[in-house]
Amino acid sequence: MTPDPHPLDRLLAEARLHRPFSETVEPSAFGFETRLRAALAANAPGGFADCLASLSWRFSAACLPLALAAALFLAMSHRHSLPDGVGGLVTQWAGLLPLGI
Amino acid sequence: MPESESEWVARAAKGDEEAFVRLAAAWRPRIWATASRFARSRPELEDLVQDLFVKLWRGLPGYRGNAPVEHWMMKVTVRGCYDFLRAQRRRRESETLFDPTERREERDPGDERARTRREAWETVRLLLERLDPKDRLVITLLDLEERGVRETAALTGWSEANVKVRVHRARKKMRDHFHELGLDP
Repeated sequence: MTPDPHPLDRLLAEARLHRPFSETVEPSAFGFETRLRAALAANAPGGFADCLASLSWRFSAACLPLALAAALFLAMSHRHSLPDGVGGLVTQWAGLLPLGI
Repeated sequence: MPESESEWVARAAKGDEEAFVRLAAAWRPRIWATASRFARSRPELEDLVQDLFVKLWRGLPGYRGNAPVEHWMMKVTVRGCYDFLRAQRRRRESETLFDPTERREERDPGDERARTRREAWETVRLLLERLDPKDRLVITLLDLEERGVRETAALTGWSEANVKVRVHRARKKMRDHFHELGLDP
């Protein structure tokens, strides 16, 4: 003899057959198309932010070690020419500015 | 004029808006049916469906064609619904919406069967509101849409083992809420 199903299972079985917001009262296809075209126009991709947002997390994850390696390489290749302390850094960068400091 | 869906997909992926609108009209019933399990009102559902179409339009150039387009479309839909649940969660906790159009759909007040189903759905929705987005998603896909474990795993990107464990825990939580709310017959 199989045990009675939990009342929740019976509830789920009934709920499964209900179609919330059924398509019968969906606005006409014309309305749908108009709204869709407006949404597509409003969301047309183009800017730098969109381009950035389209990059996947896998791409970002792949770029991170490369960026770290590049930073490490630059630091190592300039380690003998790096100035000592904050004062040295400011003096070095100030020398690059086209100002009479 | 393209005849097959794949030709429309190829054109839409290249940025042909006409082709995408045609595809969207064909896909709409399936997207509408899935999204309707997550929205609480008709305006909210219309916004969600619109959002999903924008996601599909933007994602189409990245569709590789190594899986059926319907599978890809449902995957984007399910992930979009999950994002919607996460974004809406905070608001849902402090707010209850009432949608008068839901009750208007019941044309025949004497239709006892339809009323029972609607009431069951309202109770299930009340319980689903208490679950976190992942639990809600897995219950909706497995118990309401009757998709299998493998299909649910493919749509959500979770492993089959993860789906099984999650649905088991989610059903337990639902039963606990069912008793807490005094819904036992």
